[in-house]
Amino acid sequence: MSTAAQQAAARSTATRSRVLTYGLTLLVLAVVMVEVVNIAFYDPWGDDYFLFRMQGVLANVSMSALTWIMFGSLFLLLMAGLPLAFVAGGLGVVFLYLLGDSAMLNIIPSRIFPMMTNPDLAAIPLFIFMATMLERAGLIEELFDAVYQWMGGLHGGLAVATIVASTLLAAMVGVVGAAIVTMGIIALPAMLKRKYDPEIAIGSIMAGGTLGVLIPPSILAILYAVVAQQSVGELYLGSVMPGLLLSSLYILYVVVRTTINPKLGPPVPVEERLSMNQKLALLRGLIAPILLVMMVLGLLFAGIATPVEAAGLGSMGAMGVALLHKRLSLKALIGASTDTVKATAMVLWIIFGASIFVGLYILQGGQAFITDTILSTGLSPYGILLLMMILLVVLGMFLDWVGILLLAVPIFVPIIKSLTFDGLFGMPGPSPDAVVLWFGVLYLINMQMSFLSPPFGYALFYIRGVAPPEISMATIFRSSLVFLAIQVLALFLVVVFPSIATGLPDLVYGR
Amino acid sequence: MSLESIGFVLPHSVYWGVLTLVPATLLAVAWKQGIVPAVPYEPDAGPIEKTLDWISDRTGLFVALWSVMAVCAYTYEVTARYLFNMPTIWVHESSFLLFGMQYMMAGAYGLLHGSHVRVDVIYTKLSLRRQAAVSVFTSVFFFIFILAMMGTAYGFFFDSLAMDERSVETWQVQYWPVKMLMLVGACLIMLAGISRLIKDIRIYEKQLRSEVSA
Repeated sequence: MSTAAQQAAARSTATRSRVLTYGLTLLVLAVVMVEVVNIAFYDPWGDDYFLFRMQGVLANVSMSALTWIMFGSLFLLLMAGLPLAFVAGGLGVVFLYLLGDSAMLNIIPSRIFPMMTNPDLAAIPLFIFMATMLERAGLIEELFDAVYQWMGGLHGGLAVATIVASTLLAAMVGVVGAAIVTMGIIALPAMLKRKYDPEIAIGSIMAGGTLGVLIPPSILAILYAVVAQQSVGELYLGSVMPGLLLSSLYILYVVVRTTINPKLGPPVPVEERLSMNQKLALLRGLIAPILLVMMVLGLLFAGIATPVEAAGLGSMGAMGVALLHKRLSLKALIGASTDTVKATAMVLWIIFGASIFVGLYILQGGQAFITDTILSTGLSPYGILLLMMILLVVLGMFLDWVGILLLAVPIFVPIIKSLTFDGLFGMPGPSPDAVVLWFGVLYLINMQMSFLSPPFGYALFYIRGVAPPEISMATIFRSSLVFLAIQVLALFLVVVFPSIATGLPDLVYGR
Repeated sequence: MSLESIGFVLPHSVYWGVLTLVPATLLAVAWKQGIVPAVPYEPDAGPIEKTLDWISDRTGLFVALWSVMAVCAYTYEVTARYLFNMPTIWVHESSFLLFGMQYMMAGAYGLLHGSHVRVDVIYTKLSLRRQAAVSVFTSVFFFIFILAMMGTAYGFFFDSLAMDERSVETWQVQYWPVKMLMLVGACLIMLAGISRLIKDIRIYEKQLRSEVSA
């Protein structure tokens, strides 16, 4: 029972909350409206203005103060839950006005339009379309089923099958979410039922899923190539070997652990295994998708088709695979198209917003400021590289991958370009014209780590969404750690032996 | 390059016509079959909110179907080039422009369907009321961005229209419709943002009321 006094207290709390929320909002809105009047009706360079004018008040602020103000406000608004696209866009507009004048606002369409007419970016929706179409064809389930029937007899066979299937999937799909969620639904219950160690089971699903970031056709690689002005094909080639390296390291780890202690991953009992004929029959369903992957990557690497064309053909092929599985219908087309557009709208609007914000920061001399600050630390080139890697992983805890790419890469790449890497431990460094490519691969491995790193990695939450409730968040966190360590090892290997990344492109493009 | 090696060139009017008619036809067929996805209205949405959500959803659905056409176009290009040795001058440009327009127009659809992800470090730990209150406040920055985009895209579009701007590639397709859709896309996401704000205010007031009566 609530008394009248409690009621009155609750009502006054509510009033206070309303005053605070609406009051603050209207206050900021009023300031904005005054400036809108200024922009619309007054000459930006004249002395007349309406009530007050804040145009250009930050024009004489030092670069270091500006860095704090800009990125501080970005951080605050992000924490308040506004999506990055609008935080960056909104603050970009605010700072354009506060640093310059209302005429500077015309930068907005002239930054967005080149993104709308960028020929390479079209590969993003096309590869996403291909992936959603293959998903609708029921391919992921089939893939796992076949691989698992073939490998189930090994120690840790299911976990190995998960990683192998994820690697194959990564070669068809350029994103992380779908692989982890689907594998979590099919492979995780299968492994838990067979008394697999939950940490190995969950870890192999998450780690396998993050391979989508690295193994072509990765969406992130397309974006990196566009932002860093590299060739998409070269970056794809460069990430093949590191991707396979990581995948084999994961498998090696699982096999070693389960051979030492078979309780962690018992093989499938003999009576449950399929006969050779049944196994061969399972393979039949895989022929079409594997041909499709070989076609897409083959066309791409042989230089017959550009990444965009390969993506287009791949999408057409995915529709063909769906047709073979009798899953191609107008409904499936609409479903795949809307899923695609939901994903691309998010990615592209972040690009729109962030390119205004970061573009302005670079225009104001932020690039030179960051470069000077980093160089003045007196670190060696490899020390600077390490610093960047740490920054990327830390950023990865808060921002999604498109955000990190747009915020960090335009600032980091020119610094990397200006450094000379002489090699570590007596090994040769990357050749000067392959440095940006090499950094791109390192960056992709870094992003994989940010997907997997507790407490905010996306992979952890994808798996949380589909794992049975008795798996605690602590177990998920713990299971990511070993695989994270393997990723650090792979990163280290690529840093010390740059040819893992640059070897294939050098060979194909004959540098 | 001899004339016959250029092959078929898509006329501009056909391009714009196909962009309008094909999705409309596909949607009409889908409507007849009853497989058009439903608009995700909230249970207690009012008429204004429903209208805004309907607009965001249907425009998104319309432009989403363009992807299928780009897939066909790229397949045509590679086939024409390698099997018939007749590269086209229009496939690439028509397709990436189509996607460029799609990105802009789909912002509202993405907002309605919640695909613009939030950083959920602190936000998700707040109570529903605080979440809504914070969203109402931060929406000001959303509106600053979109208002500035609408204002500047307006001039951008009319300048382009006045001089009948064409692409610099060989195909020379009109640029002003692309710039027009930039303006339209900004207006659409503005409407979706207004609907979002109405939702946030409604959640906020509902939470406040339930806290007072509790």
